[in-house]
Amino acid sequence: MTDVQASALETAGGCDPALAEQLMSDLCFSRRASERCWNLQRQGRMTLVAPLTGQEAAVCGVLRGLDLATDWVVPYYRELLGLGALGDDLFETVVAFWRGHPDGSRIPDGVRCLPPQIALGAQLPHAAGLAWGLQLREEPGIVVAFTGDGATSQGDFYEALNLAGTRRLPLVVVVINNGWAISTPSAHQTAAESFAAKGTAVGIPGVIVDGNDVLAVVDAARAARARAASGAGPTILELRTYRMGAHTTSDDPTRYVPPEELAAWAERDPITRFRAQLAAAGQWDEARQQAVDAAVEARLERIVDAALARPLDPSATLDHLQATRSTRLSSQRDELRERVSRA
Amino acid sequence: MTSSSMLAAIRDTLFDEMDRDERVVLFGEDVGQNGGVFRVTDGLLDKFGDGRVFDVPLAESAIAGAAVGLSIAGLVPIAEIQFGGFTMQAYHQIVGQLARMRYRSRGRFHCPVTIRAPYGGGVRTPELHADSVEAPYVHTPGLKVVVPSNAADAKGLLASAIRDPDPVLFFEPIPCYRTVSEVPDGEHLVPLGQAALVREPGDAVVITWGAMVPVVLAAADALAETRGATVGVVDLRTLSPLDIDMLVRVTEATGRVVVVHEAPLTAGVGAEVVATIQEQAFWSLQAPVARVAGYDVPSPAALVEDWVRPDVARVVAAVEGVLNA
Amino acid sequence: MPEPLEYRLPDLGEGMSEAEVLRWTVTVGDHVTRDQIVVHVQTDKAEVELPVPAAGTITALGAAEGDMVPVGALLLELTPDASSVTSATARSTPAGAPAPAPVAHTAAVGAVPQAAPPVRKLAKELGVELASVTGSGPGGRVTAHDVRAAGGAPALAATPAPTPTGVRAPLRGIRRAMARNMAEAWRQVPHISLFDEIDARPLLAAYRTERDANPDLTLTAYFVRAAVVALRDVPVLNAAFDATAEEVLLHDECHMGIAAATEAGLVVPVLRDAHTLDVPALGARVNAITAAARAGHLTPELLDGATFTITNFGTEGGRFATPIVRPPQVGILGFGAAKVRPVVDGDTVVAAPALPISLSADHRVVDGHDATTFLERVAELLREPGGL
Repeated sequence: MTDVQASALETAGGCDPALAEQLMSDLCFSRRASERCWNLQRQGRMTLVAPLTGQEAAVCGVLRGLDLATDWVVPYYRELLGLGALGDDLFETVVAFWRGHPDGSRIPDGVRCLPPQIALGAQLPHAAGLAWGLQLREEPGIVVAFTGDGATSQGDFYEALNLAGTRRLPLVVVVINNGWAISTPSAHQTAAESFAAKGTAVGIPGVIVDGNDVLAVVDAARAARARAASGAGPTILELRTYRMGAHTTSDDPTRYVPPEELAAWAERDPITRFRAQLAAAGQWDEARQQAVDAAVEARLERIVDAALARPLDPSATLDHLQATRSTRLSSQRDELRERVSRA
Repeated sequence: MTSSSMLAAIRDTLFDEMDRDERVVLFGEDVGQNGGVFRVTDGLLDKFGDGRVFDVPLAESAIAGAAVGLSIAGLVPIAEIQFGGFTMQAYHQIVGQLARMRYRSRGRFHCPVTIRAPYGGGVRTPELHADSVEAPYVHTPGLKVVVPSNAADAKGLLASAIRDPDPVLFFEPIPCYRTVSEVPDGEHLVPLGQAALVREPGDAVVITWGAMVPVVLAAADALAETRGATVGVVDLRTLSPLDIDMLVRVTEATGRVVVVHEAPLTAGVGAEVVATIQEQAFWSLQAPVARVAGYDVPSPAALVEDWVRPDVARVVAAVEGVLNA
Repeated sequence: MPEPLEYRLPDLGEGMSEAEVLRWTVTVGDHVTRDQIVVHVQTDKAEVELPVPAAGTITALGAAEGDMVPVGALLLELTPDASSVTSATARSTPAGAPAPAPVAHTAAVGAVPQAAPPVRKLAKELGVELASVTGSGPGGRVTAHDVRAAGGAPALAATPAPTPTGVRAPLRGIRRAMARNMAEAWRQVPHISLFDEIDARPLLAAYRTERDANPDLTLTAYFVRAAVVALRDVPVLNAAFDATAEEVLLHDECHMGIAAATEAGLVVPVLRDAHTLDVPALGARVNAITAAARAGHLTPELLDGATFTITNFGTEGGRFATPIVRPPQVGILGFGAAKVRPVVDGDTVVAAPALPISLSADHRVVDGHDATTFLERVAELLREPGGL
């Protein structure tokens, strides 16, 4: 039931050049975004950052396996810096989120993505409900929900998948197994033989994929998407990768990550690997890389500047609670606005 | 006008609203084939089919969380939690997610969800089935909490709740399910956030909701007979948002106020009512505002539950207390 | 020339307040690129590498290796390259504000009259119907004044009380000292007071006899002598109490404070070594120090060091009193005027001079037994002055 899928590149001998370019841009952009945001936190410009370093292929590969015109993405928070494929406006929102700006959860109109989820696992019943809604309305599009290995221990993971299984919902649950839930190694997270194997409990197939092989991820995502869209039901994709950075800017991984393990995974860096694969197939060179790097840098700079420049309006803090406002909240809001205006 | 039990009025409203708006879907445990453990949803599956009425697995958190997702997909979910006490299993999804989705997304997403749940003691149910759980939800910004006490209000409030663009918790007092009273025909909407003045305040006024309304009315009758006192009665109907104007109006009219609720006393919604009254109408008070509430224990076993919930005698004593002050 | 850029230690999260500078990787004059690691710092949680926010040339370092720097402290200053982007983020921190004052709300006609609970109580007591009173308070609220006016009770001053007339005399010097000392003594000392009144005839007879030889002798000398002798028998009254150390120092010597009224006020000069002097000698000393007090010639030695105090206010008149103990002393003995009163003599009552004696003692140290024993002893000694 669980198979490790080989890279499409190796079996088919060559990758679609447009896809190659797109994927390499996505990967490099994501890598640079993690680095830049990390530095910004160390410079006091962001409140907290969870870097995606080392896991780019898992997130970017999944996105390129979807139909972004119709499919929904339900994130938690680790993969946010990998969502560049959803557009500049969405990515600016992501940077604002790590900045601590309330607009960081204001997903731009037209972008099919839910706000970041801090309560791990809570996004999965939402994803199931959203998929159920698409199914009932007979709309095209599936839902891909991201979760980490840690959150698969949450009750909501099981409840959501169980519900999704009973109704064959058009859902793909991507478990990004990066080896750690803060300091808990994934081997201690469960006695199940894998995270994909948890699908057995709910009658859902689970697939294990080399999460650092971006083309394998793309393939697996496409297959799971097709299955979901066909009405056959959900799939659990377990993408095996490694968290090369800290859990967040508040974490010190040197306290618990064995250095030799880190070193071993560094040898399997997804970007280096992809570059080598493309180069071996004659599809990549230094010039191309430099072009990508320059474009990535320019795009990132533009987005980061916009996110940092986004004005903060504390007087709006009591807005958007409900469509109507109670008299009590109205007076509280008036009081807040008055305090802000005097500051 | 038609005579109807509160339960039938709720059921009829579900039919009406599902007819009216094809986006409305209804789901929960045992709501479809079985028609609900109290038969509130009886007949809905037959009429609307399994594309709109669903039985789901025994998982309250998933029920509440799925409602969030269904809303985002553009549907209008009515989710049933089998008893109010079991909303605890869904507490995080209700308070941490459903209540906040509009606020979190700055208005991009919102959840027109109604969560219905029966509750209340006096019907000899086992543990957790009788719990009045309204207080933590009233305390949660982003949720509306509604409790009808009679058939006409059940119809009007439920219709308003289903049409409300934001989440509403609709708690149905089980002892009132079978009470029959007059219900307006046709569309009948009771605005959320508006209390009902069931009897004009006179010498005193009692503020309450849910299954305590008939208890309070009986106490008012008793006081009229024994000492000729005229006791007003307010049925709050909506606990969040509170009808503050009503609280002020009746306090200014009598100065003698009693609050009655079934839930345990400490930090119950009665505390919010009292705090609001003393903030906004202090100068009219002729006596301290009294509360009659459940004792500070979990809803106890069936054979002793009547001792814990406010009864007519306890309410009468409290009103006499404010009258004699 | 672009504005210098300051890189200050940011709050790296989770409530850190400071960090130790471990190691600089750059120095003044170096050119750096944006995000280049410039310093390693140690927080509570971890060693953290800090990247510089902009490219430029370092002009100053704000801390040395080993320094503990608080959040917000300057790490370094640099001159940014012309092309560097430096966007300042304005942070507005709204100041705290008091809640808007509640607006007085006029209730609807027919509503219960508005009044504070104490006013309602007052109305009840005075038999005033609140509904019949026009309220003069905010929003038509009935005030206590309104109720009193309606009840026919004399209104408490509706206008502010007039300033009292008279001569103002600020307390200065001895009088101010007395005010302060008395207040402090009363605050500190729990007083026990005992009284007695003795047949003064033997004392007065002895006194008259002695005065033939010693015309300046006062009764005070006898009082001092009686106190000295009684203190030998009840030494706890001749003591100093240290309340902080909870320690009693039983004195070897007796230095008697003699209260004296002067024009400037009450002073209490000290008669040193009272335990060594007989009545005549005591008499001479009493006169001398009292004269010095009245003349204002009181040096510190004359004012400090009393172990017990006598106050003979009987020279002015008066009977009993509750003199105030002067800490760290634990006792004070007061004598009133020896006036003719009914006195028991054998088994009859006669009219004779009676000497009132008042003892105050610090009940933290002196219990009823000690106080009574002492007073009894003093009374006994003064009844038979031959023994003094």
